[in-house]
Amino acid sequence: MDGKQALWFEEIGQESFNLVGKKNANLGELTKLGIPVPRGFAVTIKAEEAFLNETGALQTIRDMVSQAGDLRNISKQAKLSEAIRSMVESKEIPAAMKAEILNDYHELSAKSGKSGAVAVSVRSAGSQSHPGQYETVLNVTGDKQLLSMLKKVWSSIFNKITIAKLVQKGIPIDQSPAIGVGIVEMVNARCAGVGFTIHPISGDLANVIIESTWGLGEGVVGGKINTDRFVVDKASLKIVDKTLGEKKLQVIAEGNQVIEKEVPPEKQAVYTLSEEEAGAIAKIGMELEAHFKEPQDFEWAVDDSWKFPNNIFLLQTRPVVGVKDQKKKTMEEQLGELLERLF
Amino acid sequence: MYEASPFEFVEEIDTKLTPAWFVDNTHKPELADAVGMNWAADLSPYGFGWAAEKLSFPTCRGIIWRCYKNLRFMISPLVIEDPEEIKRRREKFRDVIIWLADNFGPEWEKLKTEIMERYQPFREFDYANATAIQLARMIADIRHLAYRMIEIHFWALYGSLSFYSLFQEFCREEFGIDGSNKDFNDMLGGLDSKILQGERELWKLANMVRKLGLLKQFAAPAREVAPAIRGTANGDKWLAALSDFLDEYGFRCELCWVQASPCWRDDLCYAIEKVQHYLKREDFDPFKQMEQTKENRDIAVAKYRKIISPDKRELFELLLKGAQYADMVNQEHDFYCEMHCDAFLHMAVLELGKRFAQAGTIDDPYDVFYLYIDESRKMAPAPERWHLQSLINKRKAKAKEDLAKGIPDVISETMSKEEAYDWMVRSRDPNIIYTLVGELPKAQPELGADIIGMPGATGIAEGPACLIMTGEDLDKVKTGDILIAPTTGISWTTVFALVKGAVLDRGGALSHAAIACREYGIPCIVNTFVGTSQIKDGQRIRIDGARGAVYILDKS
Repeated sequence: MDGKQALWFEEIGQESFNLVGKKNANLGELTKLGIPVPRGFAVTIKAEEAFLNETGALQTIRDMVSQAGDLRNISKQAKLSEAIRSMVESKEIPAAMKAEILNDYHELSAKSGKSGAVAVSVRSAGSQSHPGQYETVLNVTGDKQLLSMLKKVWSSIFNKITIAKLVQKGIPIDQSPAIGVGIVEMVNARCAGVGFTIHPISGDLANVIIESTWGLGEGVVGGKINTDRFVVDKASLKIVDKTLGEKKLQVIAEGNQVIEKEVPPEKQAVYTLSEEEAGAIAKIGMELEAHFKEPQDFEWAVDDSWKFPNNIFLLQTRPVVGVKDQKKKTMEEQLGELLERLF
Repeated sequence: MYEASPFEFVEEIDTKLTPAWFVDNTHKPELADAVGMNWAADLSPYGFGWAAEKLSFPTCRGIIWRCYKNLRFMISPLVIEDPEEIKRRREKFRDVIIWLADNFGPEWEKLKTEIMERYQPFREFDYANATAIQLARMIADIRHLAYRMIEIHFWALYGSLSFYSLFQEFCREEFGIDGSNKDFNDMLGGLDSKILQGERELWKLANMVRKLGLLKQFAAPAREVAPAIRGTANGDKWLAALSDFLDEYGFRCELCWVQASPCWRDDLCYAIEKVQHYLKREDFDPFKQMEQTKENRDIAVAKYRKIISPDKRELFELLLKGAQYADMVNQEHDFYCEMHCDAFLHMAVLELGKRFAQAGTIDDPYDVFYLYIDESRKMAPAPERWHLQSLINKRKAKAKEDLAKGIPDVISETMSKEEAYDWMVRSRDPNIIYTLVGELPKAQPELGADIIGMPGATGIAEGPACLIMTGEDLDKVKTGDILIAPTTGISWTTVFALVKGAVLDRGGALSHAAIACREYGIPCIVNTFVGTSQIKDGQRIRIDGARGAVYILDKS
């Protein structure tokens, strides 16, 4: 194996997406920018390729595929997916790679300032953006669990959706592109959610729209929970509109599990964010938008272990797709509107 | 204008021709002379109209103009009311703005070169030895030259100031900030101008005084300095440096648009007086000041570049670039435009006045400034065949009488002052709104201030008020004073290095004083209307530039 299998976020940037995957590259870029993101490191795309090669998993996959026959049948795809994944997850990670990853994990635990092994999320990061396609596992603690969850994320490049897509495009299953994996310190989330620096429907760019709920952001991302909604004016960073969500459920990390739990009524009735927190989240969104030069859809969390303004963390960001193009006005049109306002 | 003339303001007639008239307080607090009034009447409306047409300015065709007594220009905007016409002009104006965004800078450089080339023969002309006939021809040539000058003048002002208006509107919408905000002003500062360069040369001359050990001689009144140092080795060295300075910067009358006021090249004491101002403050360094302004600009621009939404970035950059020219051109055009033409006209008319005085036409050469230039030119072939002193005396007496009457700020038959200002603002003409007339401050009782004006430059300052009614009293100003004046002119620039702030009766966000204060990083309040009448000399005051608030601290 050449080079390092794991790279700290500080060591990577936007240009590293082919090396570590897009989400990791972004987190690296944001770390460099000084935006508060959780600490962590990326397991490279090459590491998964090496893992699949060196363990012989790739060859096994080819054999399994050829035995499976016609794959246009969805239940066949599902069966194959299951078989491949459990086979992949049963392989031992090569010793040198394992040592390097665990070494970084131990260093991350030490940096976290908490005693013992630090809880992390193990996040998939493709070299292209495929939101939700691959696995991400939260609240992972300890060497053994880390390695097994890493393999679980790795094997998700052979999940049902991916296999269906590959079949549709006529790409051999064993050529499913490998992914990078982010090992990211868990945020002790009091509340979390998403933010949009553009109105997802109207395309209005004046405000940042924030959706927020108690506990982990998975509740918002999954769309299951009726969230609080804040509209923050970009110029003043003040809340110009807010709607209280029902928030009957929250997603929390309990032990090694992520579970849905009921929210006590008194917490359902109050807003999850203060004005200054909403403003600070919006400000991060605007910085992201300015840096990446297009509207962003970002995930954030408020960490209960810290005090404002150090309690706000960005988890990930990506460009808002689909809204911008249809609503974007040319500079000439904007100037025309400005002239009409003034004259 | 002293006698019946179509330029004389006649209330019964003129108030029916336009809704409201406003007194123009640009350039200086002093009153114009006959030559200056006549000159401005000839040039200003033409230049305004020419540039508004050329740029297709949407809502204003320029100004109309009258002479109020012999005291001031009264102006009224030519507001365009027809929505169809506004729309037509606006569409063309948009293309003009887009073109200007990329081309204003290079175009302004080209025009400066053009005008300086045109000036060359006028700079070289031997006024002192010309005959009266030659001077008559020269005056006609200067007028011809000045027509081109005023086109360039208003092209540059309409161009750059329109960007200022647009950028302000853009910033209000996007960031909630405007001309009363430090960040906004910081973003537009820091562009060097020929005026600032001239100031730095004066500052260097002041340092040279110290180096050459001439401080003692410079403690005397300005008029006595040159005779005292001439003939000494260091004195001659300094005067040679002054002469070099004046070759470049000396074609200017002490007062803008007042051609009767002395020309710096002819009378050294005006430049010497400015050097004396700089000698009062040892710790002031215009180079450092310039760096500071640039640094503030870069910080402010970086801040808003970060928060502007990406799809509006292109427009932000376009408007910012254009608006940054506003302060610079607003200062620098004085050097390239009126200063040179004022000086040429001053020299030609004064020389003619000398010929007239020799011929017995008038008593004193300076009396010639009580004649319109067309009158003087007609007498030039045979001045000894005219005796004009009784007419001159009549005009002088009338001027004195009119001065005692005072000058109204606004004249309207149908509108209150507030209504008149609201109507004026509909012109959207940045020359009128931000320089000539300014905006009307709104009452802000919650501030508990003694006087409210418009923000000119942000910041808070406290100190003794120094009341200055004309440029002649400028040497009264001490370091740390707060300047209180009717308005200021370009020749006042040096005192902004001394004072902590300024409060002006009249002016707008792009008036001379407001720009100078921003360049020097001190607060400024304009359009208080009552500053000089309510603040007493020496009184302690506190001013808050961003809010336009003046607090009189000792009301004894």
